[in-house]
Amino acid sequence: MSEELTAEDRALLAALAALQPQSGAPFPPPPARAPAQDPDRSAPPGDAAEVETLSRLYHEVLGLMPFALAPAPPRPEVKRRLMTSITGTEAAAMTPATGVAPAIGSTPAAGAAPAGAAAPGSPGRPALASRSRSASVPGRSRWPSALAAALILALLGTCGWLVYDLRERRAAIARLAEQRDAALRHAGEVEARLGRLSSQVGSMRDGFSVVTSPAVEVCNLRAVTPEQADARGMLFVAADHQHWYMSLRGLRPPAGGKVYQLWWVADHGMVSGGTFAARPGAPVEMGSERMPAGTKGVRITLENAPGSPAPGGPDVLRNADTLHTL
Amino acid sequence: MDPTSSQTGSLAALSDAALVRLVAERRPEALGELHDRFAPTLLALARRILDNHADAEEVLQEVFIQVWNRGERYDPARSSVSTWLVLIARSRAIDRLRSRKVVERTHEATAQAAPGEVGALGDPYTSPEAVENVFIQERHERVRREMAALPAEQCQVLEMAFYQGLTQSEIAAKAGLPLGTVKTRTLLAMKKLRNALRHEIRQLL
Repeated sequence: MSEELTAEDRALLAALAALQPQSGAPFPPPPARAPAQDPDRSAPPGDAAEVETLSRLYHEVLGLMPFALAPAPPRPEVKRRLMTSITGTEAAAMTPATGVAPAIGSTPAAGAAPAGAAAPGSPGRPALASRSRSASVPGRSRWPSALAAALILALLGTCGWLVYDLRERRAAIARLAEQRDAALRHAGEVEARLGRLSSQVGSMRDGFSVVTSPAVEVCNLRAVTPEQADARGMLFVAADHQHWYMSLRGLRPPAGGKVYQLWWVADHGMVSGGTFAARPGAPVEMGSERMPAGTKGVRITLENAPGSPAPGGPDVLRNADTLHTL
Repeated sequence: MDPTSSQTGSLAALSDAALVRLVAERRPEALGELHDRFAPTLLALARRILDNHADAEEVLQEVFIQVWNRGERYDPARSSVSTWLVLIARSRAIDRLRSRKVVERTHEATAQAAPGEVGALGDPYTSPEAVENVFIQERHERVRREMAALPAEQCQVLEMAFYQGLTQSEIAAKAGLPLGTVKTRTLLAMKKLRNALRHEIRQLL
């Protein structure tokens, strides 16, 4: 034990110092920054906080030790006696004018028990029990009124407590109802989000299955106008000529009142594939299980919202390769 | 009938520290709830120190009256409520032990018990199953297990310090060991307990 002590050792010794004999001290000393036995080894400022924290932990370890003992529930009258003692003290402390027990007026914490009332050899014993005994000696005729006053006060206290308790319970119920409503709202939002995510996952899965299907045909889409020079895309068409998946990048968001519209170039003319918007920096992905028969090309135009029955606006993207297999 | 018995149900959900705050506000029912939670442990502690059930009950009474009178002095930054109560009870029991000049007799009785053997006083009120609070019951089981897992010689010095209030030097003299050995064993035991009981400590803090 002569070597340099670690912060943990110092903390531990500080906690153990609380167990050392301290006659008349009802409370153990607070965790010290250095053990009392070794004052020269005070903790350096840098680890003082660590020593204090560790000391607190070891303090708690000591506090847990009695939990290794088999618990010994006290007899019911022990608690009854305690409750009677403290409620009696409260009643007496609140009614000094009744003259029931002058010695009771001071707070028990002051330790002002009447001389000789405490049992010999028990200096720390509270004066409550002795007070109740001493109160009955000088004024025997006063005890019924004191008892009645105490009972009334106890009754009033109980009533007050019940009212308070009822109010607290109502407030707790209201709080719980608010929490429940909030939880339900949150659950609804989560459910909706989950639905959206499921839908997205389904779409991605469909797109993935098209892209990875055997004999898939890939068609590049190129920008037509210089304004959309960064726009490009890829169209994947499955071997069944029905399932398709398209990914577009670099499209600028359409101006107000405008939408992008997809057109299939088929033998019998242009067939609309639907309208869509674009967000800055975000790719546009779409797909379907249907494609017009005889499709050999694809165009994307900018049309007035909500869309046009025939292409009228400027071309934005167009297939760079002919879809010869369709 | 205990006038507060109908109110304690709503207090059972409160933390120990919240109960002490209510006690500081002079709420008897809060003290009753604290009594329900900790009296079995504190009575066992006082009995272990004093080896006398009647004296232990008096100490228990003194502890809770002290809590009633000085509840506002509880400082959660210094210790948990559980530890606060335990150390008050220990301090009072050891003071009483010393005042009765029965230190030697009690030491001899406990020295004969195997280290780590606890709660063997054979009292009719001793019943682990009687502890209602499930958390405290779990705490009892865990601490009992970890204490039993300590090497006997480490457990012995720790228990002599805690339950008999002996200094390290007194333990060394009584056990016939070098002082350094006593210190080393105590430190080792405490470190093991701190590590083994970290879950319990976390719950207390």
